[in-house]
Amino acid sequence: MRELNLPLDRATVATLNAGDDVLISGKVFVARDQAHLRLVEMIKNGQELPVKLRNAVIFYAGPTPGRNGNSIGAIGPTTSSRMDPFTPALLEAGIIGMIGKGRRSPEVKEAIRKHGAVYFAALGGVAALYSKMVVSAKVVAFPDLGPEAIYEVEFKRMPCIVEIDTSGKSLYERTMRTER
Amino acid sequence: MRKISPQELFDPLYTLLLDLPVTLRQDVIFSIQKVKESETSERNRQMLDLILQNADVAASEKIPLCQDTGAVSVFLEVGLDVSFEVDPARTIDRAVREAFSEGSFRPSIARDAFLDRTNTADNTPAFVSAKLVPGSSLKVDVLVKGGGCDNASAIMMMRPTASATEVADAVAKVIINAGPNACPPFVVGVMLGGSFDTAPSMAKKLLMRDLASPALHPALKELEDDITSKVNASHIGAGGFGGDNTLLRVFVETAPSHIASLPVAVNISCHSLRSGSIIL
Repeated sequence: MRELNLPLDRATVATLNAGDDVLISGKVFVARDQAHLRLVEMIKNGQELPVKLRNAVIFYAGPTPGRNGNSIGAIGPTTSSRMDPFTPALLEAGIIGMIGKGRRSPEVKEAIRKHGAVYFAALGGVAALYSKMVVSAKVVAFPDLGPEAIYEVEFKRMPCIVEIDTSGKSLYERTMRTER
Repeated sequence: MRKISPQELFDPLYTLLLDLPVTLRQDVIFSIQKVKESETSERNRQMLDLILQNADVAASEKIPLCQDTGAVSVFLEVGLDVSFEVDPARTIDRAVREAFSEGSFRPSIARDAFLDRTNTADNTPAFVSAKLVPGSSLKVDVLVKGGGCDNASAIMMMRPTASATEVADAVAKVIINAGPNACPPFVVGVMLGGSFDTAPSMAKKLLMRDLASPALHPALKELEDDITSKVNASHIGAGGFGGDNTLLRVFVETAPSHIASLPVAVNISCHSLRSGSIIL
């Protein structure tokens, strides 16, 4: 079990292997479908982005609203493959890692390899537990998107597993047994 | 004539909707506890344990099991003697709106799937269907379901001469392709029969069944066992991280169909299976 404190650097990321258990602490950007669409559109149009992507980690999620003074409620990964079309552009723009759940496309694997980045998988459907690991959260872009806004969320020791490492190796492919 | 007032429907439905997103169904809890005992993968046992711990935290602190607190599906069985003062769909939407606000659940509905994907901000409309039955009762089956597992579901129009093995293979393939994307371990409803439109609806409704309930016919038990062993042989496991248990239970039901058709509808549910019923 490795403790990873954000922000990450490429040297650290290069030591991670598919299947490694990690505990992630620090600030991530929470962004999903509509935010990805907008960011990539802005990149294409050469517009300044509302968030700094260099060496950022993006967590694919749409949290529930907070209660009792908390800024967000339950939070957990949404299906990463829906963000696949936008990911190579974001990796090009400098993000260093992503947290989500589910498989990534060959193009994304290649882009991860090319940019020396990493993809972590979190367990889906344990969002009440993950909410306990949130230190702080605030909307930082696209508030009109409601639950699909970009949030900056600080986690303390959030358990994840390295699904795709910098060599492009995938944990899911290793654990799955296909019929011969 | 049995007249059902809006309040008679609203009150129990509102209470149920406040509860569903934070409550993992008891039969699913039992099933996970059971498979955990025979699971040989250490990591899968840990994942299954996290799911159970999550259910505890959710229930005691009223935090949703999953941030996708779901679209609300309501299956009504309306007695022929029943009449409504107000369109029940309106009452249902009001209950959804108020429960999702009070519970701080997530609005997860887009205004129009293609023309305008603005969030409706109140998790309405619910997806309501109704069936007419004899009598003067109203049965309200409620399922809150996330998008990821519905996205992995499928309808296949198979050859009417397809063998049991071919059907099992086709169904197992859909579930295995879902893999880590739809949050295993899964509970799956399979409808063999009906038509292109009725089969998927019936398949989803099967998710209301208790995981311990027996198969409806010996041939269907064989089919369910075949599908289950094929899916579990993939070793996908909880979260797709590897393990013996990927499919907790598959329910297969059958219905009449066109002589040229074998509709096979597969509705996958993630492990956050949230449903309940009201009888008025």
